[in-house]
Amino acid sequence: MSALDAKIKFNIEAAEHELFRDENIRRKRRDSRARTLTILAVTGVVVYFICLFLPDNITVNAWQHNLAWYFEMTQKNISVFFNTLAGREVSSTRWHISQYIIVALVGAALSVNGAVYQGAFRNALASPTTLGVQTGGVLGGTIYVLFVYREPEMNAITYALEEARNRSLFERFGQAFFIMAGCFLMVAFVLFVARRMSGGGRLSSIGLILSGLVFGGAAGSALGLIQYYLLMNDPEGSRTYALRYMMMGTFDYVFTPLHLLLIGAPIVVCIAIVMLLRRKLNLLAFGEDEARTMGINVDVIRRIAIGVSTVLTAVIISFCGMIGFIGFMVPHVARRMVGPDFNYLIPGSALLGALIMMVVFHVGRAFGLASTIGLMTSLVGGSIFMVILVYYRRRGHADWA
Amino acid sequence: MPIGLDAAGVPRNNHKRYMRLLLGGVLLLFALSLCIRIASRGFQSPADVFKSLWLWADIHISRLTHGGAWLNRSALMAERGVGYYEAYGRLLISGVTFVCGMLLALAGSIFQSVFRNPMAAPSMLGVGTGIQAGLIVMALTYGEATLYMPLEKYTYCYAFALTMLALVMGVAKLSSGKRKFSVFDLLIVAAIVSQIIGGVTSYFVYGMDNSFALVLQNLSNVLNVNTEPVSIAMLAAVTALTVIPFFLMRFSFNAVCFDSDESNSMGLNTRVVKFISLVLGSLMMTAGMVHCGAVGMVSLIVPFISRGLFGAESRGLFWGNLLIGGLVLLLCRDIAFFVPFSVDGMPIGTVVDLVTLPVFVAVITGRRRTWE
Amino acid sequence: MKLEIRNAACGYGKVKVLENISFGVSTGEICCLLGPNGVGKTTLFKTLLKLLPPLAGEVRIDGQNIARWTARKLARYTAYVSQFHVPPFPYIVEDVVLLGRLNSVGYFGQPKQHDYDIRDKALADMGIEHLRRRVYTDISGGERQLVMIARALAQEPQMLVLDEPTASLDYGNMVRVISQVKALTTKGYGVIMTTHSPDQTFMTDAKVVLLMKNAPAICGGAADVVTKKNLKDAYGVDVNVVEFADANGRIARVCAPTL
Repeated sequence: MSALDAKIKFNIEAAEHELFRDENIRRKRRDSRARTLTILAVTGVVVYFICLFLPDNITVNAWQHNLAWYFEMTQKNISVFFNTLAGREVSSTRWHISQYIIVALVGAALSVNGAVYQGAFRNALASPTTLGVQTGGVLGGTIYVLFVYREPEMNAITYALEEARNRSLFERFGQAFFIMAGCFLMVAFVLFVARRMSGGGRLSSIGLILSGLVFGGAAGSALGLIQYYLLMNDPEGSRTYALRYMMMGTFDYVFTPLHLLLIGAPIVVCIAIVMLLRRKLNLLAFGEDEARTMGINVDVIRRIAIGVSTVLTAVIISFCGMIGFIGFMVPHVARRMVGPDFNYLIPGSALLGALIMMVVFHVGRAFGLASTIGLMTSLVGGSIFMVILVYYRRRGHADWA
Repeated sequence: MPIGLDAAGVPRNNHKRYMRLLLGGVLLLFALSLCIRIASRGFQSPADVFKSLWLWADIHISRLTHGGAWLNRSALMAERGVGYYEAYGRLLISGVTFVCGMLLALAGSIFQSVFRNPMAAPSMLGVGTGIQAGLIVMALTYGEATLYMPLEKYTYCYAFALTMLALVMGVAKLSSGKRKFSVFDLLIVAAIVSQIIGGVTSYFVYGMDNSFALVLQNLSNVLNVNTEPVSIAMLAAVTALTVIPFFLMRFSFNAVCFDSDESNSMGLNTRVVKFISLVLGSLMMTAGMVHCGAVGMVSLIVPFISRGLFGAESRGLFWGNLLIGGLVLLLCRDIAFFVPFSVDGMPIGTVVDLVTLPVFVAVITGRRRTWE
Repeated sequence: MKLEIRNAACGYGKVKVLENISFGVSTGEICCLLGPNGVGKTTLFKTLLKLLPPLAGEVRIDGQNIARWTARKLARYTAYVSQFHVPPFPYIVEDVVLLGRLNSVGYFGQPKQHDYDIRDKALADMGIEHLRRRVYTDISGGERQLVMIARALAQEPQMLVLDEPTASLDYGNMVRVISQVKALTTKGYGVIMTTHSPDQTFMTDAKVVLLMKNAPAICGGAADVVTKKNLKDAYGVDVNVVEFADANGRIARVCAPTL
């Protein structure tokens, strides 16, 4: 480590110390942040098993259920689980084991995305949902489905891996590339217009939100057009379903260990990169100029952070479709629990997001809504959004106007 | 530099000329729009155009020969053949489109003045979303029959529009506490609500049996305009009810641009005016969207254009909005006819969105940043 | 015309901000309200303009209690210019001034030639005819204030109520606005204004109402009220009131704080 690096590191630490001094003192007294993270992690594991063991088909023959039925089903699920692990039995539970891990990982990734967007844009309202990035990704994927690859599947990647081994790499992953291109184009448009609107200097909230609204709305209306076209021409066709799964957001098509590997690897790598950037994100969140005077290349850091999160968004869309508002809502709640320091905020939102996603998925499946998880999260998340808005504004936090 | 200003930033005093030009443009476009036959996908040949024009003129001649009475459609069809009927229907559709454009633009301008922010168009504040929600509920309740129930459509959509507006304003009011009411909060809350409604919509679009009807409804296919006499009468009644008050108040409506203390000290009670404006503005928006579908963006864009041409004073703005609103929507509908997207042309809602997007980006990245 | 406030108490709801205020202003006079932040100047203004009901006492115009007047009737006597007003839309100056006619034109009327003449006169009175075709949002703060005063004049009131007409203006603009305000009194208008600068009371040779926290207000001529002792009582700082003669031998006073 050169002397300059050492100096920068020292500066960052000193600044962090300064920035979080009050917060740190308050927190240290209760020594709560690490404990909160542990509690979250333990709860996450417990929820994972609860989700696996509790019956998830309660709407089937619901009038016959009583408490005994629940006990019986739970007992059965537990025994099936252990039999499956031991290889004594083959049942659908073996799919659930990896599916719930995927759900947890996706929840974590979405929440970390939200936290990173909020830090990098320095804006409490930024998230892939509110900036229209998800809609852009879906539009990209739909364009691929419509114009490039005319025989798509419900989930291009899944299908390509399992049943179309003789297809080219582009045919297998083309949709994912298009989704990624859509996401990045959307970020670029939104950033460009927001820059122009705020005329240099700090990105104004209204600029971000408005341009997100406009471009998201335009992408949405283009999607509507495509949807209309597909429904007119082949209402039961596979392309309609491809669009449908992307719009509604669902985990129905990802459940094997192979999927787990495919989704898990990019998520873990991206979260690891974000964790490496956490200290710089801290400084970025508190002021660009301060960070710049400490010798940090702000633009590079910001681009890396936004780029990594956008890749993550695209990965999630290509496997599970559009799942809105988790990324917006979870970081706000996590910030209440572990404070604004990215050291704790990133793991905190990851754990909380995983927890919430698993619960939402399980409840959705229990009530037969598993194929519309995206809709459920936006209903729940949208309502919580308004509560957060009222709460923050009333207390005079977050001058995001 | 906005249109209508010279190099020194001084407005050119030629509103009258703009108005005349615009009126000419409207008439020309209206005539062209009449020429496009309803069943065809755009112009087929110049001869067709002239034939349609002649047919249209002939209807009026036949009206004279029949002692000044308008023929009803079946009589017209029986006597003159189907071509007349098409031209006649096209006349009605163009007229309805023009009136809807007028209403939407006026509603947009009214909302912007009431909230004193150029971004606060009804389509941005949840009114448009509410109307769409009303249509969804109707389609769920009545199925395809929705298309032929103008009165119920009005009732549902208007109720939902007002509810949504009240909800959005309520949340924004709650969140602003004792501070000044922030339009920005309104925009955010409305955006979130519209995202949720959008999700629910797409759920039903895929989940329902009569998904076609809903999609048609939602995206406002060009064939969607209902030219039943009841529907036309409703539109006429709503137009009279909403436009006449604002015509009479076109000077005093300026007062809402002042804050309530100032306008009170000028002897005008703007609270009442604002309340009535929101109620009537939502009704205008409902009328526009019930007859033409998801074309709410007109209400955001047109006031910007007419403010650039005619200035901010609301007497000029009133006429400018009426003319340009009608013009823009008519133009969009004609584009929708031309584009060979499907048998019925392109959904007009998408055309409106795509046509207005560049204008909107130009406005928000422009020099005058008055929305903050 | 004479506007009087008698033993008034002002406040919001049941919270009294000011108590026992009495003073009167006639046409041809300027009355300056001085006082520290939060003492209730704006509240007093709102009570004067009937935007808030007085909690006690009464406001009278020519001996009549205004409590039962309609807003339109009151607007024929008083015109209000708020602290800083920026209309959200790019109005043209002459249109802004024409809006002063809203009171006499009413909800459903249209301005007639007579109203346009009054607008032109108001523009001429404030000396801003050169601005008439400019866009209101583009002109400077001082010009904007003059436009708003012209708007108030177009209302044809007898009394102008100005809330800090010189707030956030640079020095030159401040002097220009104040001199125009002073010129108005010679044209027969009465002026009530708030200000944070005691110097302005000397410039305009005004009647002063000095509002204080926890003490009754002091009314009187500028020379009597704006004194070292009173300023110390009101603001809690030491200010010297200096008298000097300019090159023409006119006596003038300024306030000079010593630090």
